[in-house]
Amino acid sequence: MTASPTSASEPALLELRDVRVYFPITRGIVFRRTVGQVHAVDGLSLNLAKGETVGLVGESGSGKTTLGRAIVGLLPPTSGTILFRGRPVAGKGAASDRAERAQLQMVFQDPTASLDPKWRVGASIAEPLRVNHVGTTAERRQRVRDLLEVVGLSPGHAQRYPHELSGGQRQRVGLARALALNPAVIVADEAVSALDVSIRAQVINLLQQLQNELNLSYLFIAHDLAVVRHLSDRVAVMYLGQIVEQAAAANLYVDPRHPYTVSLLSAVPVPDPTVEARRRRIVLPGDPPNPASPPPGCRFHTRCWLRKQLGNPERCAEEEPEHQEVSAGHTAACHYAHEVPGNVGLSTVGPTVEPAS
Amino acid sequence: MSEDGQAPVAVTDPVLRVRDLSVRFDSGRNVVVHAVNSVSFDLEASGALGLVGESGSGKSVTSLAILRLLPPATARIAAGEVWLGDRNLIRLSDREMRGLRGKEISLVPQDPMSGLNPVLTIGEQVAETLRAHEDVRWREARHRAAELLGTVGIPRPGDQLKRYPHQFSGGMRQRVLIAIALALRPTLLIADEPTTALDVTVQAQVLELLHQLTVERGTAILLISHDLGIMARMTQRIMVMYAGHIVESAPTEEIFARPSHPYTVGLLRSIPRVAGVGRPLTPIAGSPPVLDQVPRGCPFAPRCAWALDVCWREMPPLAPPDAISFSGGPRSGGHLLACHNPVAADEVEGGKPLQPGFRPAPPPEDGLVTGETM
Amino acid sequence: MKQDRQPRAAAGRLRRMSRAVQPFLAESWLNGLGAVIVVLILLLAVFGPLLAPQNPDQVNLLAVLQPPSVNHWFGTDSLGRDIFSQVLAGARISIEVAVIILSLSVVFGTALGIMSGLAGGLVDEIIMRITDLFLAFPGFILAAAIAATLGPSLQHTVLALAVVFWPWYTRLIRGQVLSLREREFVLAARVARAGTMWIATRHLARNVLAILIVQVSLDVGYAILATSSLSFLGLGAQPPSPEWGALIASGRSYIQTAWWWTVFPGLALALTVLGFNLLGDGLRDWIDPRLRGSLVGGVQE
Repeated sequence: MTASPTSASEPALLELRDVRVYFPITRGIVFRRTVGQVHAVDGLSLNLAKGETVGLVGESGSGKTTLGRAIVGLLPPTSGTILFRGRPVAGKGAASDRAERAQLQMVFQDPTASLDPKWRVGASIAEPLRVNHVGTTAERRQRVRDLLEVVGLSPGHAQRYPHELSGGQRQRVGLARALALNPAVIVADEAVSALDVSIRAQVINLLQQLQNELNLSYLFIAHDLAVVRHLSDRVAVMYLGQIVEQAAAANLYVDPRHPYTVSLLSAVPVPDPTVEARRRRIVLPGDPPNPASPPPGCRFHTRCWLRKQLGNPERCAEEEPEHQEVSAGHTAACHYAHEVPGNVGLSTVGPTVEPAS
Repeated sequence: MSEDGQAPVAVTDPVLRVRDLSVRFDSGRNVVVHAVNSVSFDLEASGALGLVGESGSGKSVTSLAILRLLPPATARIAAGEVWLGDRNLIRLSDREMRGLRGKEISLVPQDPMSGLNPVLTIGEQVAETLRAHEDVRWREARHRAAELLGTVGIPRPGDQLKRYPHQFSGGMRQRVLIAIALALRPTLLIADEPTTALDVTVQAQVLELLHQLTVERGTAILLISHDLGIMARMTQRIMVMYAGHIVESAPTEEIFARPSHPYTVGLLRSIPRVAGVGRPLTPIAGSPPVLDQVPRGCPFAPRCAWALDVCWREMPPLAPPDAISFSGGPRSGGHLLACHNPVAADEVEGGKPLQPGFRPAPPPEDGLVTGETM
Repeated sequence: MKQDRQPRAAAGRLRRMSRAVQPFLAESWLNGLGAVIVVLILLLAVFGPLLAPQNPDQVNLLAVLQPPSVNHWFGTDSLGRDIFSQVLAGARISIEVAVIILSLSVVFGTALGIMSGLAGGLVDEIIMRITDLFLAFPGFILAAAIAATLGPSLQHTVLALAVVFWPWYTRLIRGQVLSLREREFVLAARVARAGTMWIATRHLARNVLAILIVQVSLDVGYAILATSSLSFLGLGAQPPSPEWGALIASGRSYIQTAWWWTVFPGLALALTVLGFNLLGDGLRDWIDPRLRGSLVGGVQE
């Protein structure tokens, strides 16, 4: 956690404007027709400043992985724009601008699948350099050695094959590869979820250290709220393809203003039996709705505990909520965001025993 | 969980008694993996015991050994006894085990999709379990299946009987698996990472359900997970496993309030907390254990900041620690520890030994097991 | 000196290869048997002309239809030619033919499969429908039809069989590519701005190699058998070619008086196909658990 949150005057390094990613649902074999769309990402706007870590939290179906892939160019956005340093790199107005795209890199979830099993590890790290014709063979070899050291491995590892390394080591290799082209932004898609608990901490510390040394910006996509809190300056919560709440990390966890965020926090198990015994859970009914047919109005209204407590106001089912500014830098997309703190005792539901001052 | 307001459990014979269980895997070319080493523990009737560990800890293998579900070609139970009531499960034949599984002792597996047969409807699978152990007609079995689905919170259970697993979400499938596991009211339920594959909110639902049902029916539960947060909620007692050994075993509150094994301390300090602010993570140095070489001493020694010379030579026995006082309380079994140099109470916060000038002992010259450091 | 290092390096490589081969042989005695047969046939094919006691075309009217003897291990045919020499020469032909057929079909089929799998959409549809069309015909009938149309000869048989074999490879490789395409290491290459050719040649090709090797080793036997069958029917190699199928056909009329003319080439054919089948089966069983082991893993701890 490094730089202070973005001030309004500073241009954002990465800007997402009303990004939508829809996947067509097709029927028929010989004559394919599109019978519907999966609204994986549905009108999302987000900024990332230099040196900042933004955590993107959501469950399955939230669209966070799709968004990550759209940012690094694996998927084209259906509409909206992604701007890097003010220039469009995806969506409307984007030319295929290679130089810019190289600045946005990704670390993947599965350390085993993210490395070609037939390639030596050094070759995998050097791949971005070779593909983009950077440096001579000798220079690339040196760069690989440097990168291995930066991520805490020995240069000798370059000759190894992925199956000879442990999960944590493979993930470090993935990180080294992402750093090869000196990116400004790294999208970490569940980068530590597949690792053992003790190794996870090592990689989290490494990520923080690299951010400090290289002034990197991270978009940290995860479902683990604790890890996200630890690493992020700001956090955005996604539900069914949209951001429902955005705030500085400390504020979000202590003063959540969207009912979904509250239920997420209430569901997180806390390694402290006294807290766990005292908590009262908000259990959401049913499953997340289908991204192919999102509910009308506010997407969360079908499962929203606040709505029930407020007597089922019609507004939730009819009108899509706008982002309300709850306090500086803290927005929530809920018609009744101001009602949230009064309707739930965070000390009994949330992960803290007392609210932190 | 005494906060539930239930009367304290009467002291009866434990429903499960494991004694010196050891499991070996033959992975070809004379490589033997020591997956589980001399594990012993008791599980009280209606109790909730947690087994915590990372990869290579042997926690899943232990549960498979109890259920006698290890792959016969490569795995063997090298030693030990597993007493379910008055029967030694190790000695039973396959046929006798089949009669027990599902009826007296049940499993909720990790992956909901692979636990269910994709070509049978949900109703058929639940009913199948009933009919395998009891003499019921199809109609009654279906009726009871619908009831069971209702108990686990599946809406409109009568309609859902005809649907197939792939038509359900992960959380629903896990509920079905719980329904199947509890269908015949077993005395013991083993849940192996039951919520790992699920979203956080769904996880909360499933754990609530599991908690509620096992408490209602007085089913003993052995919960296996790497997630200490889940343990804090669901268990009365926790056992921490490393490299196939139990290294610490204590009532849940004590594991969190007064962890004494360096590995337990390391685990607790390497977990980011939702509530904790800015506390740096202290990862455990080194890499997970290599199981095909048997260390002479404690397997955690290469990564241990408290290591003494004796730690490299001799495996410490699991026993109550002497210099630390604990409240025994109404629960059975005190605090057990397998450590030559436990962590003192004031060292837990910092995560390192406080003795000035103390350095962990290096490996002895005559060579030992070495996993490569991370 | 460089010359000194070379034999040592070669010895090292040989040792590494034999270490890699050993677990395969240890898995089942059938694997060893298959390997032995295949190596034997290959050696005979390569060194055939040197080992043959006589020129297979050498006509000797004084030794017509002789039963097997010390001079003629497999006896002689109706023109006094030594059948043993002919069988050896036939081995060479069979191997050559199998190599050509499989080279053609593997290269063409794999390229098409990779293209189809990577491109998706309309290209994929078109290629798959063409593949399905070819696969719809019973292989042997199709080959026979093509060979008959072009005119009976060994070259035309080879062409016909290549046409029959390629669609299997296209389908096989396309399936592999479809699953590999979404693998994270391919995605990582795409994030690094790698193009389709790069991904196809550097990543996909190497990762489908194992499956290809298994399939080829299984198909060699079929290719040889099919060639011989077509020759037997008169559509392939024509007598006096020592191709096994042609030999069997020629000897057919003499089967009651000179059984050795048909039986020995027949035995050679059967043994060869058996050897390749055993080898192929063994390879498939051996590679499969290794693949499964590396990507999925056994009992999770």
